[in-house]
Amino acid sequence: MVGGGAGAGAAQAINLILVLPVIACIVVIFRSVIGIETFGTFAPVIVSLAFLMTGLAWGVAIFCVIVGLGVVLRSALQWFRIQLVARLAVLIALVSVMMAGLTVVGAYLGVGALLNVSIFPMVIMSNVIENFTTTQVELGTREAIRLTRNTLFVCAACYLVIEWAGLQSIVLSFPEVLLGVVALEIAIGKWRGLRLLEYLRFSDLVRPAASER
Amino acid sequence: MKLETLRRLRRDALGMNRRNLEFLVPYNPPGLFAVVDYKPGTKRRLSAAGIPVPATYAVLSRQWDLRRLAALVAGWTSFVVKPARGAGGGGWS
Repeated sequence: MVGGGAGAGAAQAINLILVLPVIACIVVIFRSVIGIETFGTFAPVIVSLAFLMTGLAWGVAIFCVIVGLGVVLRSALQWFRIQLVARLAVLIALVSVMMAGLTVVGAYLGVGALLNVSIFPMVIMSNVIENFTTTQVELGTREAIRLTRNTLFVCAACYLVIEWAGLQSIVLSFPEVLLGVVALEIAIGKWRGLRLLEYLRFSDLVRPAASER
Repeated sequence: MKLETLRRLRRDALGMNRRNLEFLVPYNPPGLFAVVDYKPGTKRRLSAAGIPVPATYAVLSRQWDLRRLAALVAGWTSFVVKPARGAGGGGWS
């Protein structure tokens, strides 16, 4: 990705542009068919894209470092009692400093994946940190950790699906596949069936009635 | 989980997908959100339709109106103060 001339850069760019809608479709499947709740829809899509650049292990490590440190720093920000937009801007500054730090560490230790850290979308990461803290305040730490874990899980799953199925090269060779992706999304958007996890969620409703008979 | 359980759930349970498409969307026309997001207006509409609503003792629309608060609630042993717009603790200014 570093160097390789304008041609390689353009190929890489179009590759990422075309795979983005495929990732979005996988996220839709996770939410509406399987039923996993995440922090918004954009965060898992964009973070999955970042994982494709850094590789899975480093991607997860970077995500954990940035969100973990970010949440600690965010709770320190609570002291200043500042308004939402200003606070998000401060968080973006904090995230950018952490990313610059990771890049320096990557260069020093010769870890190539950490040099790609700039691909990690700073605004989205700042938003994940803010979502974590808001959820923590309103619904508790357990719920915030659960949603973060779900987000991370969906991102990792997107990465694995894209890599294993070779979807990047498929969509690069046959962009018309995206029409099928859109058709699938419309079908899911109109689908009324139970989400997979809802079978578990509602399973207690059936048991008493079944024992009556 | 038994197959019978799964079948019953699929038939009887109301999941998010069906709830959104068959209840949320058809029964909540976007144009009416402005009505139901404003409590005094909602109450007026409901009582006009013959649906009982808790009595409104007073609607205070300006900060300055608060000086009348003590006098307004003097006759009641209990009362609730609610924002005209907002829910879950939001809507105050």
